[in-house]
Amino acid sequence: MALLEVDNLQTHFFTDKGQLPSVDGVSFEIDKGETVGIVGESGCGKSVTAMSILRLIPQPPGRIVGGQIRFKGRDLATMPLNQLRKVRGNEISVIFQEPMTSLNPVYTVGDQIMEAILLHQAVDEDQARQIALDMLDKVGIPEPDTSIDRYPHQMSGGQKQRVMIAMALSCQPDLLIADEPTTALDVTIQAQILELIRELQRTNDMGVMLITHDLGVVAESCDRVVVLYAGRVAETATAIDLFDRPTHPYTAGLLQALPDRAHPGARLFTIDGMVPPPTDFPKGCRFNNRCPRATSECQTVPPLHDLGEGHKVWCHHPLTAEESAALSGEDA
Amino acid sequence: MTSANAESAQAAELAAEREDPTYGEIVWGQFTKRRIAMASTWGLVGLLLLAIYTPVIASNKPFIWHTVADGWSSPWLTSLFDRNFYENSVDIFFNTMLVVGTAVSIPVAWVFRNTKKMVRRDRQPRRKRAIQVALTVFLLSFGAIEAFPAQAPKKVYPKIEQQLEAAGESHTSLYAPLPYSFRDGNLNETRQPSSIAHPLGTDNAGRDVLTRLIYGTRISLTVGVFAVALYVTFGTIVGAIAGFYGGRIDMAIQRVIEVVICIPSLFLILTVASFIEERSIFHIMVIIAAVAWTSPARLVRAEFLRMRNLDFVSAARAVGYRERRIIFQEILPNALAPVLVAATFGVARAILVESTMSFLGLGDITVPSWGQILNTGRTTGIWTLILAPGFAIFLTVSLLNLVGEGVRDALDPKLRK
Repeated sequence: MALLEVDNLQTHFFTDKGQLPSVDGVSFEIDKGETVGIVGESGCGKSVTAMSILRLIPQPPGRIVGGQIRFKGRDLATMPLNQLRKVRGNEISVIFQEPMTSLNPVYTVGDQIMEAILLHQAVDEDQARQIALDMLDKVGIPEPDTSIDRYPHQMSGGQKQRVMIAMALSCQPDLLIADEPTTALDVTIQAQILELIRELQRTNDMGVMLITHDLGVVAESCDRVVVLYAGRVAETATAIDLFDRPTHPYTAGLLQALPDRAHPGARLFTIDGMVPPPTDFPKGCRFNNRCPRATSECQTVPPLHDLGEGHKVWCHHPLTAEESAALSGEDA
Repeated sequence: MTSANAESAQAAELAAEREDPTYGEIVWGQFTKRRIAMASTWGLVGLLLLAIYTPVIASNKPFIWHTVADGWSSPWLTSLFDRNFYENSVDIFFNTMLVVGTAVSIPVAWVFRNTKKMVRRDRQPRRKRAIQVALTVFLLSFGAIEAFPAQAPKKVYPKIEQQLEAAGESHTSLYAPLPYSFRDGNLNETRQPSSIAHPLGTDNAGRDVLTRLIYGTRISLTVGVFAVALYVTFGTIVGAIAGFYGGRIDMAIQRVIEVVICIPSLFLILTVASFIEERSIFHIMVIIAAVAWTSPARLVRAEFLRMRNLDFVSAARAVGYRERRIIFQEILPNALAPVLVAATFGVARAILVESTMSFLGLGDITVPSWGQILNTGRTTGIWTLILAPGFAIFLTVSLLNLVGEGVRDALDPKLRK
C-alpha cells in the first residue's frame, strides 16, 4: 500500500461565476521514501491539489466535492477535523511557496518551531528548544543559538525558507508537501534547499510531494512525475521515462519549451495560448484548444493509454515512440 | 568579585547589547523619539500617580492621631479600606494600589534592576514571572478587601479636634495638606472664594473644590480605562470572529454593527442612563462600552480579512493548530496595532462622555467626577466650579490625544525616524 493515494480528487470552487472545477479527478500515489513531482503551468491546479490533501483550501469558496485521499489507509477527505489536526504538522507537513509571509511576524522563529514540536510531541520546553536548535543546525542556519531568538524580519528569504523546512521536519513527518519551495529563492539557494530536502528525506524515509513548474528541478530530484493540465492528470511516469519518452502532446510541449544549449540563439518553442481559467475549460480533452494534434475526436474525454511501468497517458493522439524519441533525441 | 566573574559579566552585558530589537522595542524606540508624545506620557503618569496617592494629598483623616483617652492611632491608614468612608469600589481599588501596589512594585523593580544585564532569553521569563506574581498578589488583596469590607464608625476628626480644643485637652494630629473629605462638606464654609486654606474655594455644600477635583482624577481615569478595556475586548473578539469566518457570520455581525452605529450614541446613552435607578459609575462604563465597541470590531475585522488567507495562517493550520489558537494567538497579535491607537483616543472620548453625562445630571451622583463638579458649577454659578474641572478635562483629554498620536506615528513604519 502506498503512503498516500489520491484517488479521483475533485476540488471545486463555488463563486459568483459558478462552480469552478479547479481540480477535477486527479489521481496519483506517493510511496515511502519517494519523491513525486507535480508539474504544470500556473493555474493548472498544482497548489490546489496539494492544499486539498490537508484540507487547507479556504472554505468557502473551495470544497472537496469528490474523491478520496487515503493516507496510511485513512481517508483525509472525510476525516473529522480533530483527527485531521493530529495528522497536520505531525505526519504530513507542508512547506509553502512564499517564505517571506509563511512565518508569523510577531513570534521568534524559535518560538514558532517549538510550538509545533510541543503540540505534537510529549516533550517539555527545554527539550523542544533543543530539538529546534538541532533542526536549525541541520538546515544550515548559521549560529543556531542566536538565530533561534530572531524574528522573521531579521532573516533573509533563504533563511526563512530553511526555518520553514526546519519547522516542517521537526516532527519527522512521513510525508512532506513542498509547494514550490524554491520559487521565491535565487538559484544557488534553490539548489541548497533541494539538496537539504533530499538529505532529510533519506534519513527519515519520508515521502515528498514536490510541486514545481521547473522541469530542471524535476529532473534533478524526482522519482516520478505527475503532469497536471487544467485540473486533470495529463501524463504520469517515472522521471527518467518522462524525459526519455514524453507521450502527451502537452508534456512534449513543455519539454520542447526548455531552453536548449544545443541551439544557442534559436527561438524558443512555446505552446500557443494560455491555461484557460476554470470558468471555461474546454469540453472533452481540456488541452484541445492548444494542442497541435487536436481533431474533432478530442471533444470527448480522452482515453487512458498505459505504456507499462506506471507510465500512463490520457490522450486521443499520444506521440508515437518514434516521435517522442525524435523529440528527446533533439532535446539531448 | 573575581576577574573571571567580571569578564563573564561583561560578556553577558555585551551579548545583551548586541541583541536584535523586538517589534515592541522598535515601536518603543520610535515612540521615545517623539518629544510631545513622551512629555504627554509623563503627564499621564503624573495623573495616574496623583490618582493613586490622592489620600496622601487630601483626606480629613489624620495620619497620626493622639489623645489622652485613645492613645496613638492612624485613622488615615484604617480609613483607606473603610467602606463607610470610601463608599466607591473605585476608591477602594486605588487605595489598594496605594498600599499593596506600592508594596509589590518594590520587589518588581528590584527584579528588573537585577535582570537588566541579562540576555533576553534569561531576562524575559524572570521579569514576566515577577510581574505575574505582583499582579496576583495585588488582585487577591483587592478581591479580599472587596469581599470583606471593613466598616468603621463615622468620626469627623477635625470636629473632634475642635471639641478637644474647646475642652482644653491635649492632643496631637498630623493631617494631609488638604484636610478635607471629598464628600462631607462643612456647612459653615459654603461658597468660599479662593484662599490659602481652600485654593479653589468651596462649593455650595462647603466641600473643598481642589479635593474633589483631585478625587475626580480617579473617577475619570477609571471610567476612561475600564470602559475602553471593556469595549475593546468585546469588539476585538466580535471583529475577529467576523473577519476570520467571513460568510454568513460576518454578514450577521456586520448588520448588527451597522444598526448600532445608526443609533445616535449620545441620545442612546442618555436614554438608557435615565432608565437605570441608582446609577453607579460601573453602569456608566457599561453604557459607554455598549455603543463604542463597533469601532474596534470593524478595525479588527478588516485586519482579519486581510490576514486570514496569508501564508502564515495556512502554515499555522498545516501545523495542526486549533482555530481558536489561530484566531487569538496567530492573527490577533498582528491585528492589534490599529486597535491600540483607537483605544488611546477612546480613553479620551470615554472621559468626555462621562463628563457629559454627569453634567447633564445622568451620572453617578455619589462620586466627585469632573462632570459632576461642572454640573454643580452650572447650578450654583460659582466660577471655580466651572473652570477647574473644565481645565482638568481639557488637560487629560489633550494628553491622551497627544499620546494616541505618538502611538499611531510610532506604529507606522513610514514615519520611522
